[in-house]
Amino acid sequence: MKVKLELENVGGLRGNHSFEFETGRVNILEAPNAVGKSSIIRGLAAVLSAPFIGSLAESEAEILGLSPEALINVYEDEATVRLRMNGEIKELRIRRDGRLLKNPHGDNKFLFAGLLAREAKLMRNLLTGHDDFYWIVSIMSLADEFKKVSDIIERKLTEVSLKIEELKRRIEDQKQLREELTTLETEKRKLEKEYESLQEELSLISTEDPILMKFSKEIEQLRRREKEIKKSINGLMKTLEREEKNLREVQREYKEQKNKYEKLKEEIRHARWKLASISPDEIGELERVAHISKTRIETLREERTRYEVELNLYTSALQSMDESLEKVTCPLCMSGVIPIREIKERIEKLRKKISEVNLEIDKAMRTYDESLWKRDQIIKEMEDLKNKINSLENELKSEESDLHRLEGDLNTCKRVVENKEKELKTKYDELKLIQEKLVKKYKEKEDYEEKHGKKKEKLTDKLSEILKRTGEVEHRVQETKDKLSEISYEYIIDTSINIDHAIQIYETFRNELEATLEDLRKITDKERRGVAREFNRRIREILDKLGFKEFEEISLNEDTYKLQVYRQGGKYQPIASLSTSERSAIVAVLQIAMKMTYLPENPCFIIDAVALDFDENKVTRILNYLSKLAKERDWLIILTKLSEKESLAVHIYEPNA
Amino acid sequence: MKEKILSIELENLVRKGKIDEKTIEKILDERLKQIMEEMKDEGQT
Repeated sequence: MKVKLELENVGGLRGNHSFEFETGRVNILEAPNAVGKSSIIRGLAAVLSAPFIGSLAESEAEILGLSPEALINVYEDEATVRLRMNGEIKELRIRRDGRLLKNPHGDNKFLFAGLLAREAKLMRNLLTGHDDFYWIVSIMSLADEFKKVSDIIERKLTEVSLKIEELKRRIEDQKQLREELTTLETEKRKLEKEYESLQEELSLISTEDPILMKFSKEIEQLRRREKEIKKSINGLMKTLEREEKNLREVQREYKEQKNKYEKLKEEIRHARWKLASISPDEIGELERVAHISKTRIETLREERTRYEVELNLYTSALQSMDESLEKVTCPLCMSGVIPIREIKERIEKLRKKISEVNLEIDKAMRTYDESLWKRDQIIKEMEDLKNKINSLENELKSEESDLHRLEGDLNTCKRVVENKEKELKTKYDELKLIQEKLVKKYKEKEDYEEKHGKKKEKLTDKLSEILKRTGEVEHRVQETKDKLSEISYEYIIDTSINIDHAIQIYETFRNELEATLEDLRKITDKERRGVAREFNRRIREILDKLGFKEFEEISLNEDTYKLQVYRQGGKYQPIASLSTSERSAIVAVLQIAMKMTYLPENPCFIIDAVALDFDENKVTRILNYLSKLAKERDWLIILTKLSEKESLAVHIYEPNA
Repeated sequence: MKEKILSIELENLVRKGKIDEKTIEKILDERLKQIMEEMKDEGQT
């Protein structure tokens, strides 16, 4: 049957490549170096074994070049491998970050059992001379799976054992808490009893004391009186306040009136002084000046009349004279001769004198008028002052009367205030007295209470102490109950169970887990031994078929899982002492045995010819055997081989006789 | 025989390849539950 392998960007093969193989045959893949042989093998191995689960598989895949980094072409970020076989398609598509876009659901065992190559674990193990092959039974059998289950059971067992220990401790705690609870409840009962007894005692002495009642009554009366006085004081205070306000008002009015009165008095005094300062001589002097002025005016007027007569004479004479004459008869005496020029000069002189006399008359008239005006003014001022003084004196009389009235009012107000103050003082004295009495009574009561009330106080204190203590004990009882309830139950799978019962359940479970663990150990051991036995059977079978006579036995020790090689005659041969070609031949046998034992259902087997680095006869026998196996089981066996031809070619191995 | 119940069940699951941590935990819880029931019944009788 044809098998098609399609590769895209795998290893050195960039882009799409496809190859055809045939099942039931050994397919020889021949190519020179760096043509893509390894990429084909890696692609095929990857699609048959990925995804790699667990550190062992991941590490092995990396060694075999199947990690994303090694598998994907360096120029690409994604690689695809598709295997079309027996009507089925297995596809692997993987990205450089390891993300699988298509999961082929391969078998990790293929990494260990499906490849016969220099890099394969078996080859590495043997070539380095190590004889410990425990990993074969571990990986290839179900032993590892059983071990995983055993580990989980073991972990659970530890958890359950710890839980049992914890529950046992809780039982101890529970016992202790119960004892504590009993003690606390006893104490609580004792306290309750004591409380009742004290209550009874207190009820007997707490009836009202008549002396205390008398004290209280007296104090009450005094307090009532104190209250009344305080109320009365408050009333008086308000009245006093009002009267004082009234007094202040009258005082203000009186002061204003007094000021007004004093002002009037001052005004009168000033007017009198002013009147007194006007002298009667002054009037006389002014009248004398006026008289002199009048006399002078008359004298001057007479003088002026004389001049005017003379002037009239000269003027009339001049008007009647011939002005062409130098001298004329004197117009006054009418006898002598007088020059006209002299008449003119005389007229002029007279006119001047008249003018001067007029000026003098005006001046004297002014002095006369002025003196009389001044005299009248002074007289008028005197009259005014006298009138003013009279008027002010009248006003003063009226103001004086008002002032007297206000004085009366002021005195009345002062008396009222004084009376109220006296009244208030009396009340305060009374209050003080009452308060002194109250203090005295309180003291007397306190002294009495101190003397007689101590027992009651003592009892009350004790009662309060017991109540406090009872509260504390109750709190502790509740706390202990809570703790008890908390530790007395265990939740097992959402069910609350009493811890005694929980211990029994867990102990049963622990026993069962221990038994299971023991069973699993036995099963695991049996599994390992079983697969080792099967492996050994296969090795014997292959050795028989191949006819490798130099080895009497190659097997895994079923206790130590070390590889044992016995030569003919039963001679044990340590691995390290075998030649490289012998080791390679043994690897080939073991690898085929592993494939047949642990991976019989997987039809693919890959062989790198480099791994067949031993004598040609043995290689031929192995290839013939593989060819037969392929035919019998319809396996696809691919053998990669270095070729001197330029291109890659696939051809079928033909077994020789 | 009761002690064998768990190991038989677990072996079967391993052989069927259907084993993982969650499944085992679930099986163990189930078994613990069964023990509780059995002991409850025993207690009652």
